[in-house]
Amino acid sequence: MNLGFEYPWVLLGLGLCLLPIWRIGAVANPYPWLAILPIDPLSLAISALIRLLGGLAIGGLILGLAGAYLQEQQVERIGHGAHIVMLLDRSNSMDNTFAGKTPETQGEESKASAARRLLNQFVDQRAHDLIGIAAYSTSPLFVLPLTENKAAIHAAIDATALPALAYTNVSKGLSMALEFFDSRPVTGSRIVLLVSDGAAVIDPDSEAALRELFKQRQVSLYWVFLRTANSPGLFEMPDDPRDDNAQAMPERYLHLFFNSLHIPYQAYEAETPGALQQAIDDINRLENRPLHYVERIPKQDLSTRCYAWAAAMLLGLLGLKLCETRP
Amino acid sequence: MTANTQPFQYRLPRPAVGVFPGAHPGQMVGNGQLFKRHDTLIARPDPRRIDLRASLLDPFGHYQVGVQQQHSAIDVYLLADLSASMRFVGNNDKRRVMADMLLSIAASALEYGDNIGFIAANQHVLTDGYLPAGKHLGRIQATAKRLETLDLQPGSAGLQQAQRYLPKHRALVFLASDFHFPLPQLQAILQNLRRHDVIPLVLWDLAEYGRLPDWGLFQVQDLETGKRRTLWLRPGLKRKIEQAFAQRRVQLQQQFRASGCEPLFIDNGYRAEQLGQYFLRRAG
Repeated sequence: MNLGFEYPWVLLGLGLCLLPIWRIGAVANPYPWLAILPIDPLSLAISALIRLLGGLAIGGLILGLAGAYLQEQQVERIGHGAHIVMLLDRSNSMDNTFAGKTPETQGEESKASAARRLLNQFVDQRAHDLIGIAAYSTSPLFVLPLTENKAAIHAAIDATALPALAYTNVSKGLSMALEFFDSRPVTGSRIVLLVSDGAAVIDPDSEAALRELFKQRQVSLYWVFLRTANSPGLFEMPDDPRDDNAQAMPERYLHLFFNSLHIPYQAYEAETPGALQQAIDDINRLENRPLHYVERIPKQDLSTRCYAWAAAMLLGLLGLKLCETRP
Repeated sequence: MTANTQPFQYRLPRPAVGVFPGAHPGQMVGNGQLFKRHDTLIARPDPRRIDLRASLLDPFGHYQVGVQQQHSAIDVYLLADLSASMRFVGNNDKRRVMADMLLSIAASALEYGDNIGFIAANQHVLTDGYLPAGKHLGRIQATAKRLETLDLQPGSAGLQQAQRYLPKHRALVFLASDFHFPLPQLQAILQNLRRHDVIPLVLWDLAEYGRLPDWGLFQVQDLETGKRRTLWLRPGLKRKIEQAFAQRRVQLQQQFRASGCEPLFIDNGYRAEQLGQYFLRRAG
């Protein structure tokens, strides 16, 4: 039983439950001889009822005073969902609109705020997912470990409303996102959801390390590329073969790198908020594998219920007391 | 003297046995109005009562003396059960009723010239409340006064030992109690008192059975044992209680009649007329 008490010593008072057996609080009318009174089953039943009500009322009060509560419980459940790490780009350009401008007028939405809005919706739709959040800029930022606490996740996503930082260091961000899955059982899907609007060159050392990490962690990768107008896309072939290098087209090369990892990988080029929505809907639909997860039921205070119970019993006793007559 | 403590007239069903002259027809012969028999002058050396006619008719030539029945004085005792159940106060305080009864009986006994004694008992005979038979009204009144405020202790076994405090010869014993104890105990008491002329006075109160509320929760506490019982009063249960008391009344009557005495149920305070009528009915 996972019943707990704020003040366990108050439970000593439970002995008082036996008090009604001794006295029931009615006026004792002196009578010369009880043996002459006939045995009356109804009177015996009502007498027992009074004692029972009294004992239960005292018991309820004592439990209420002791501060009874149900301890936090962990219930193992099987649902559909995934372990998702959102890796958010916090580079400067995320604060611009999809048109590549700083949002000036009302109604224009920056890429970051569009991502925020849609990710919040996404989180609400995924009931049983464990979601962690990491961000990266010049360095990776650890924001929130894998958790099912929706409020914390929303807060963490909303926290990206702070002005963005400087550059884009994808490789370090990715390795941090992959570390989220360390010492986690492999159950359900494991997803890294990379939301960025640009890419950077990954140096060969990091590349090798990432390859190994992706293999070990069995992670699927979704890249939502928030493409700014007129910037090179993921699938675009450069006109000039000389431009076909990682420095000139980092997005294309990162895409090629992800493709070469041999992991489930999907890239979305989102040029408008609607396209981003499409990407998130896809993830929603695809990543719903059976998930073995532990649901936490928070501590529940029972003292109010104890007092309500005691009040009900006392009400019954009051009714009986009002039935009492005098000779 | 209040109305409750008026004297009443009593008489014995059988001739009294007592040496001292008094008001009750007895077995003693001596000075009196009623001629009993003739006796010789040697046996009754009272020359004032020589019956010359009887002497002449006597074939042996002895002087014959007329012998009259002498009325005797008797001892009257009130044997009171002072157990805790007598503390009950219904329409009347039973201790008050007992005190009235003592005063009334004492007044009647003193009118007749009889001796009055008082024995109280609960678990034991209360020696401090014991009054030997005598004619001292002051002591009786003091005892009656003390009775009204006496704190009573439980137990009624003392009634069985009361005969030790009673005289050897037959006395008129008023046995006053609520008789709220088992019948075998009553049988033992009556067995011990068989030498005497016992008048059982059953002190009940209408409030014990007739004046209970009609409906509702009612807790009663036994005055003897202190035990409590909760009753859900309703007309049906009230009727059952009244029936229980009626049945008890019949049982007591049977028990007393088996011992040769008729009980008097006093359930509405003490009235001297009730006892007067009782004795009239008994004589009839």
